[in-house]
Amino acid sequence: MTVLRECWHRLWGALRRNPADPDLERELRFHLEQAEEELRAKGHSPAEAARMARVRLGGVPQTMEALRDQRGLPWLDDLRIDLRIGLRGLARQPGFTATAVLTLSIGIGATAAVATVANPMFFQPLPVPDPDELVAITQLDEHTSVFPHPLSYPEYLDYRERNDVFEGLAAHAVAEELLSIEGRAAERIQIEYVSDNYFDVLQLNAVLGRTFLPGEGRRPGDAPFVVLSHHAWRSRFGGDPAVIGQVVRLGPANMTVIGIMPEDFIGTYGLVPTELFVPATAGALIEPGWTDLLTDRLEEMFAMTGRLRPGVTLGEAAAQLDVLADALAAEHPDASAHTELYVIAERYARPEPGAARHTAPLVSVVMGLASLVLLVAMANVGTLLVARGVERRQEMALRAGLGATRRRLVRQLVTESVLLALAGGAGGGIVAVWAADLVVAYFATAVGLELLRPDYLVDWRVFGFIATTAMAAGVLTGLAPALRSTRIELPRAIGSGGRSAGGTVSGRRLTNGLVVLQVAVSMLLLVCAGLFVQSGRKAGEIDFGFRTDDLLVLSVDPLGQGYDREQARLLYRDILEDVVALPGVESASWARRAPLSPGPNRGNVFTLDGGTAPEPDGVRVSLNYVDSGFVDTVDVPVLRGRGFREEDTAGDRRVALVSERAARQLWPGQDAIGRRIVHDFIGGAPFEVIGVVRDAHMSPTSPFDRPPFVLYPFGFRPPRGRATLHVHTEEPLSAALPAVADTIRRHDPTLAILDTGGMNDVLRSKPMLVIVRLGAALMGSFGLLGLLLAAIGLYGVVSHAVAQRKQEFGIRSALGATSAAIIRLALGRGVVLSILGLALGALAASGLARLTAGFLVGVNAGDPAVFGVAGLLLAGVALLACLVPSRRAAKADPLATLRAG
Amino acid sequence: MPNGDSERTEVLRGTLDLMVLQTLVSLGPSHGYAIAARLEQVSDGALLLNMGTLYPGLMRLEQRGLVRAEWGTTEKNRRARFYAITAAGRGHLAAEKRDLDRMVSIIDALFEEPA
Repeated sequence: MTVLRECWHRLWGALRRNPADPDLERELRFHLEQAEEELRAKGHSPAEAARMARVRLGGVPQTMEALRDQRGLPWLDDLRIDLRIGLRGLARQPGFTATAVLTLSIGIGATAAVATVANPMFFQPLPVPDPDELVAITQLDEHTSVFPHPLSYPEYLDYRERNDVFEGLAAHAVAEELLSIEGRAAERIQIEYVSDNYFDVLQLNAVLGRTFLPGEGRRPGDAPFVVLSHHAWRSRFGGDPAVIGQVVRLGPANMTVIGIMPEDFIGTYGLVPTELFVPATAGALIEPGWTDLLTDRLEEMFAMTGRLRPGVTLGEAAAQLDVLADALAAEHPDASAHTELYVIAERYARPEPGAARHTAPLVSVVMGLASLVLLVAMANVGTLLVARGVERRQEMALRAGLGATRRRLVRQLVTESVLLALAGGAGGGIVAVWAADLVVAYFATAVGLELLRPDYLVDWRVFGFIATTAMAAGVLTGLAPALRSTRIELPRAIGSGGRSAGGTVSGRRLTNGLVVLQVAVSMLLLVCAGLFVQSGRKAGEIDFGFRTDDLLVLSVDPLGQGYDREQARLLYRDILEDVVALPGVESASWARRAPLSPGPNRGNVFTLDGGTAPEPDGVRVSLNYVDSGFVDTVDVPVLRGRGFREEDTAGDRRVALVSERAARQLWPGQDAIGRRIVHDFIGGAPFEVIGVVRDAHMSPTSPFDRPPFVLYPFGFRPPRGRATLHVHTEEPLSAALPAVADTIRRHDPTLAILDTGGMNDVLRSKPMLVIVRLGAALMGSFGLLGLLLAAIGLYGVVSHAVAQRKQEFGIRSALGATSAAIIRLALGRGVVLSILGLALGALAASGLARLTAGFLVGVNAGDPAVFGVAGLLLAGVALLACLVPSRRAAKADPLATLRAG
Repeated sequence: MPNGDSERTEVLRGTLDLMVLQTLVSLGPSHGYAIAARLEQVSDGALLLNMGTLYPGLMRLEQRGLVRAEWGTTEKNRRARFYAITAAGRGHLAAEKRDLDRMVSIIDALFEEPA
C-alpha cells in the first residue's frame, strides 16, 4: 500500500515538474545556514563555516538533483528527453526516416493485414455471455477423411438428449434462400437454419421482439418464424420497429418476423454474416422434402455448437460423445459410420467447423510468411541504423565524454528505433485496413460472398497487435545497432573527427549478418511465393474432365416457387425444347446440379450380384440426376454401353451410368454393363447399369480429384431443390446467355434465374479454387515485397560501403586501377553476401516449404523449377542492387574524391 | 548519477527510515537539520548525514504517508519545514522495530555461538 502511494506521488511529481522547487531549495538553504551558524558559534570564520558546511552536507544543486529523482520518475524524465532528441534527430534526416518508416510500414502492414483477417476468425469472441464455454462439435468422415463434415438432424437430437456434458447443444446449418419482402423481387440471402434451442444455448435475447419460445420448433413444419440480424433489419427493413409481426416470403413460405438480434451478433460463421435465423423445422415449409433432412440419418448438413457445463473439459466432452457415437453406430448400422468426433473451442471452429482444421494452419503459415516479410524489413532498417550509427560516432563519443553511460546511450538509440517502428506501425495499420478491404472486395466479386465489412474486422485487438508488433520490432531492430554504435573508444572517435570511422570490424560483421539474413529470408519467401503462384496456376489449369469452354449454366427452382412436380416436369421439358432450337446451340440438358456444385450429392452404392440382397460393402460416390443430353453437353463421353435415351429420362426407367472409377471399385476387373445397383439415397427397385462414362471432377468436396460418381435419370431427382440447365453453344457466351434467359422468362417471367454464367466463370468462383488463388496472390505479394526490401537493403549497404571507401577508390584509380577493377572491388562484398544468403535461404526453404505442402495443388514443395527461378530472380536483383552503386564508385573523378577527402 | 555508492545507501536506506521515524517520535515535529543533529549527537558523531541522503529519505517517507511536513517557524522565528510522524508512520515503525529486534537477536545468537 505504502509503496503504491509512493508510486502515485512519484508519477504526480513527474507530471508537474517545477512548482515546489523553490520550496525545496529554501529548505536546503535553511539546513546549510543552521550548520553554518553552529560552526560559527564554535569559532570558525563565516567563510570557513560556509565551506565546511558545504563539504560535510553536500551542495544544494546535487541534493536538488537527488530530490528530483526521488520526487519524480527518473526514467519517465529520461524518456521525455530521449523522445525529444529522437524526434529531432529523425526530423533532421527526413530521407533516412522516410525510408525506414516506409520499410517498417510494409513489414508491419503485412502481418497486421493477416491479423486483421484472422481476428474475427479466431480471436473475436462471439458476442454472447461466457463465450469461452461454447464449443463446436464436428466429425471426421471415414470415407473422404479429408474434411470433417456435418451431422444429420436425428443424430444431433440423439446427442442432445443423451449427453450430460453440455448445458445445451444447438444445431445450425447455413443455406441460401430467396427472400421476398412485400411482393418485391426475390433476393438471395444467407440464412441459418437453427434448432429450437439455438438462442438459449448462445444465451442471446432479441433486442426487439423475441426469439423462439420453449416448445416452438420441435416438429417438421413447426414455427414459421424468422429472427433478423441487426444488419438485415437495417438494410432490408429500414430499421423499422414495426417489422415485428410482418410477414415475409422465404422461398414459397410465408414467415413471420418475430425478433431482431443485437447489432454485434452476426451468426456463428465467423467472417460470413447471417441475415436471417429460421427454425430448422420451418425448413419443411420452405423446401419441399426438407422433412427428410430432419428425419434422415444420411442427410448430413448440420453443425453443432454446445455450451459446456461448468467444470467439463473439452476432452471429457469429446470422450462422452465418442461413447455416444459408438452406441449410435450400433443402433443404426445403415447410417454412415464416422470415425471420430471433434470437440473444439468455438473460436477455433470458424468460419465453419468443417473448414477449421484447414483455416487455422493456413492462417498460421500465412502469418509466418508475413512475419518473414517483417523480418526482412527489420534487417533492412537494421543495416540503415548501423550505417547511421557510424555517421553518429562523434555525437555518441561527445555524449559519452559528457558523462552519459553506455546504457543511457543505448536507451536513447533504441527509443529512436521504437519511434520509427511506431510510425511504421501507423503506416502498417493503414496498409492492413487497405489490404483487408481488398480481400473483402475480392471475395465479394470472385465468390459472391459478402464478408464482414472492414470496420467490423478492425478492433482493439488489431490495434493491440500492431502496437505490440511495432514496439517489439523497434526494440529488436534497434538493439544490436545501438549496442554496436555505442561501443566507443573515446579518444580515437573524437580525434578522428568521425571521418575514418568507416568500418570497424564488428560493425561490418553486424551489417554483413543483416544483409545475409535479408537475402536468405527473401529467398525463402520467394520460394514459398513461387510454390503458391505455381499452385494457383495449376489450379486454374486443372483438366476437370468435362467441358468448360462454350458451356453455359443457369439454375431455376420452380419447386421452390410453388410449382408441383408435374408442372415442373412440363416446364423443364418446354424450356429445353426452345433452348435447343436457339441458333448456335449444339446441345442442352437439365441436371440436378452442375459439376462441382454443392447439394445433397453423396451416398453409398451397393451392388446386387446375382442375388437380391446388396453386398455389405458399398462404394461412396457422388451422384447427379441428368437428362439424355447431359453426357454430350458436358462432354463426359460414354466409354462402354450406351448413354441415356429420352425414354430413359422422361419416364421412370431404373437405369444408371457409372464412372470408370466407380465401375472399377464396384466390379474390379469385370464388366459393369448389365449389373444392378442400389443407392442408399433412392429407395425402391435396383438400377441397371447401362453405360460407363469417363472419369471427371464432379464432387464439390474434392475439386482436385476425380472420385467415383453415378448418374441417374433426371426423373429421379429429389422432390425439391433447383435444377441446372447446361447449354453447349457456338455463340459467344455473352450473347447466348441473354437469349437463353429470355427463353426461360418467356415460359415464366417470375422464375428466379440463379447462378448464371459460363462454366469457366462458375468454376473460378468455387471457394476452394478461390482460396488457392487468394493464397497465390497473397504469397506472391509477400514474395515480391521480400524481394523489393532485400534489393533496397543490398543497394543501401553497397552504396554506403562505396561512399565510405570513396577515398580508397580515388587513390586506386589515381594509381591506375581500371574502372572494371574498381567495380569488381566494390562489388565483391555485396556479391559474396548475396551468394551466402541465397545458399542459406535455399537451405531453409527446402526445409520450411514442406510446411506449405498441404496447401499446394499439383506442385511438389521441393519443385526444382521454383527454387531455380526464385534463386535466379533474387540473384539478378541482388547483382543489380550492387552494380548500380559500384559503377558510381568507378565513375567518380579520383581528383575530386581525393580533394574532398 | 551516483551509481558507485548505491550499495551503501541501499543498506542505509531501511535503517535510515527507522532512525528518522524514531527521532520524530522522541523529539516531536522537527525540521531536517534538527533530525540530522539529533542523529549525529546520539551516534557520538559517527553518523553524519549529508543533505543528499537525508532529504530524499524524508521525501520518500512523506510520499509513503509515514510522515507529514508543514512549514512552520523555529524558536528563533525562522521559517522551516517541520516533519511529524503520522499514525501510519507509527505503525510502520513498530513493525520495523519488531523485525529489527528479531534480526538482531538472531545475529547475536549466531555470533555468540562458540566457533
